[in-house]
Amino acid sequence: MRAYLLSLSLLTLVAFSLSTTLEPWFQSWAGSRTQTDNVIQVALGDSRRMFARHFYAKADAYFHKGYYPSVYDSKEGFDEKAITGNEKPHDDEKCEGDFLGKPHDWIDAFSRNFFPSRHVHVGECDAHDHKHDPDHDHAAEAGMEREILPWLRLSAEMDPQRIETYTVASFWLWTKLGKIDEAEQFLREGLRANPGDCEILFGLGSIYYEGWKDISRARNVLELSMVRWREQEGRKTEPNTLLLGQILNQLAKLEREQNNYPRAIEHYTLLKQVSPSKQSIQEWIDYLKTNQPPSKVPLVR
Amino acid sequence: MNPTTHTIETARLPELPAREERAGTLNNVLAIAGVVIKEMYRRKDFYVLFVLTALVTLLMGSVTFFNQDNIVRYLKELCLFLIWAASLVITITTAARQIPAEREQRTLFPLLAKPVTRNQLVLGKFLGCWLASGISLLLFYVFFGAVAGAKEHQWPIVNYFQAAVLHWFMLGIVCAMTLLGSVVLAAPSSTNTIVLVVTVGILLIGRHLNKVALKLEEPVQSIVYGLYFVLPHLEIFDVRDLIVHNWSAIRWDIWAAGLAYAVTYSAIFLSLACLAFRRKAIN
Amino acid sequence: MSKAILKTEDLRVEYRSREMGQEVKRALKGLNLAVRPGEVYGFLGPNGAGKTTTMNVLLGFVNATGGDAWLFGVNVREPVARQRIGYLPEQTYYYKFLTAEEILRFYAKIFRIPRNEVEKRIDSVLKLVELEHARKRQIKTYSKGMQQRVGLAQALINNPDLLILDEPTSGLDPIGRMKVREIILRLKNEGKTVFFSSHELGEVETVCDRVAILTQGELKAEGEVSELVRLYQQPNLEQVFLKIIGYHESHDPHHRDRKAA
Repeated sequence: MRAYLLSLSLLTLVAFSLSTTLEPWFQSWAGSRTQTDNVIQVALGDSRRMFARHFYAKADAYFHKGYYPSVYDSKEGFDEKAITGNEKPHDDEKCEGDFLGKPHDWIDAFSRNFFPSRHVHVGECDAHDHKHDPDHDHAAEAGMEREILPWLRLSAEMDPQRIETYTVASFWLWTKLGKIDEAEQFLREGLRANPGDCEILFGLGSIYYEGWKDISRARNVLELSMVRWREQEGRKTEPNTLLLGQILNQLAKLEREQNNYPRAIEHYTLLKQVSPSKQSIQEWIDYLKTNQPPSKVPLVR
Repeated sequence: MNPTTHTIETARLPELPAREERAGTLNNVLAIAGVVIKEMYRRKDFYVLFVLTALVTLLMGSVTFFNQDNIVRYLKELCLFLIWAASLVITITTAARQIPAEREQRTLFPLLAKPVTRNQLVLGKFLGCWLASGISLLLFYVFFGAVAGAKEHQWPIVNYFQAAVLHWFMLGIVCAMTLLGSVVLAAPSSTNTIVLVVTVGILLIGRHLNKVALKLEEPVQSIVYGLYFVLPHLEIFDVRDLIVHNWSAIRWDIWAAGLAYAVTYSAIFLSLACLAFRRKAIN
Repeated sequence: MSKAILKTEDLRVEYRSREMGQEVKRALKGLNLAVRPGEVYGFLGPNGAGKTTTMNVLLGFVNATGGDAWLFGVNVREPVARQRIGYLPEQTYYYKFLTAEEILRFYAKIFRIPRNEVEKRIDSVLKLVELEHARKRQIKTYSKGMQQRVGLAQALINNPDLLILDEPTSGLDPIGRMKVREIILRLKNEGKTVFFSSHELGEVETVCDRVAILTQGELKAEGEVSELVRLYQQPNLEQVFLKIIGYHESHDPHHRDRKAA
């Protein structure tokens, strides 16, 4: 009994000594999850990014009302950018079965009756429903873009460094649901997680400009986003010129509307360097220089 | 002192007409099924899973995203996912333990010592498990309908009915498959694991096996392609996306064909289970 | 000459044992039995003699390799052969989540006992096995003796003409054994046929009309207890049994130790 108690005390002593040595090391270890106050990060570690990707894809699937390619399907013909609002309008009949292709066999053909197999977008009425159901409630579809928001929120929770989550969510909140305040708040949240990110700054600037009509604030933020773009993207071998084009276009439009033509021409001149439609930009520059309207309606969201 | 029994005649029972025998089969199958149902509602598994589903759904339902309180599809998806998971767990664990528990607790002996055939026992167990899963499914779907309806202010009863019945018939296939597993495999735990893995596997990649096969080398390609045609396509019965995204109801003839598909596969697995159980020594 | 309720003819059962390298084990070697209506028939033998195998064949759990068996003149392979029998296995844990009443109702349904008779039957068998007070309690709350009595009650629910009992008193305390013995005698008085195996030779001597002694799958002796005692010139059934199975006290190491001491 005595030997038993002695060994127990000895073991307790060893455990305590080890814990006093190991605990400080663990706290200072770079990989320690305890260094964050984020519960999700503590629980999931870096695997949360995988979930974030999944939830972002889920939002895209919701945008297509469940019609979405799996990892086994060919993604060609399925525009993954659709959720960002940049997808071109498509013809329903033409798009039917785009990534699904023609049924391979009877099982494939039969099973297509049991899952969404037509390319439609949330908020739009399905052409098939339209044809088959004369009582189809079109009003019910309006504002259904809201359904993609929980997944974007979750994606941002899982991976706060995923920039497009903020920009996409704010786009839908602002353009389709008229929630400018919520859109701004979400972008600010993104900015806190990713200080100085040029894409988020561009989104914020656009909201100030087109949403709140706060021109001076919009100008400041958009100009800051351009500065940040130069810092973040300028040194890259393949910089995101599309974003730069969007920032410059927005700035040029803002200055043009404020009759600040020299600044507008300055932005258009820079935009011409990165834009594929140089002709139409030149027409805008000429218009601003001569006050003559351009032949084509160019750019601008 | 050896006995001589050859001089002793045997007393004969009167022979039963065929109709009586059929009625006897139905009677026995129903009696055995009744015991399985009683077992389900007296165990805690179902209640635990139901409460868990309800709690998680209600908790998630109380979350508001971007001050938009009429977002509902994520909640429908979550609730349906929990219902699917719970129903699979209930069905597989209930079916997997039936015959092994009868053997282990030796209740099989007094039961088969009565005028009950082994086929009737398997059929009774199947019917009991299937009905029990149907009862639990009904409760789950009523809860789902209430949650979705309260948030969405619409009750597409036809769509919910189609989805619930397809789900129930799919559980019939799973139940028959589990019974076959429980007759062939030794321990209920291995039956549980194997059937759960196979079922989830089919649900996830069953529809894509043909595409997977094309990327493989022969002879694996032919084997996987063969599996695509042989395995029951359980994913057909998973119409959650149609329900979540408010697609219109499935055509009734297609829906009925889906049910017939489930009945066929359940019958195949049940026949195999009966055959395996008939050959099994139970002493 | 009365008609046999239970009959086997040249019954043979062989097993292939995996442990023994697929060696054939002959569990029954041409067993001939005939049990007449109304008698209590004791089926005796040491462990591994083939008693349970015989019962398993009679109940359709095991198929005979050769020969045949009949219950009420119907081949045991037919489920209907089991319509008028009651069976109590050696050790069974009945559906724990059911009450005694529910278990009996379940078995009554299997026997297709008319609804108006079911409750009467349940009352009478529960009274017989003295479990009326616990009829609404789930089996999981029962003691071993009570569970054995539920077993007996389920064996009697169809008012069987033939009862097959596999060591009905095994694991019971003296009071439990006495009660089971009383029930067997009561059934005998009601004109039922009882076919039972037991290692309790004193008990067998008390209740049995005839006994059969089996060793290594072969029937060595059959007859009335008094007849066997006289024939083998032994004081009681236990000594007859030991003599037939070829047991001598000198083989018993404990006996040798006692003698040496």
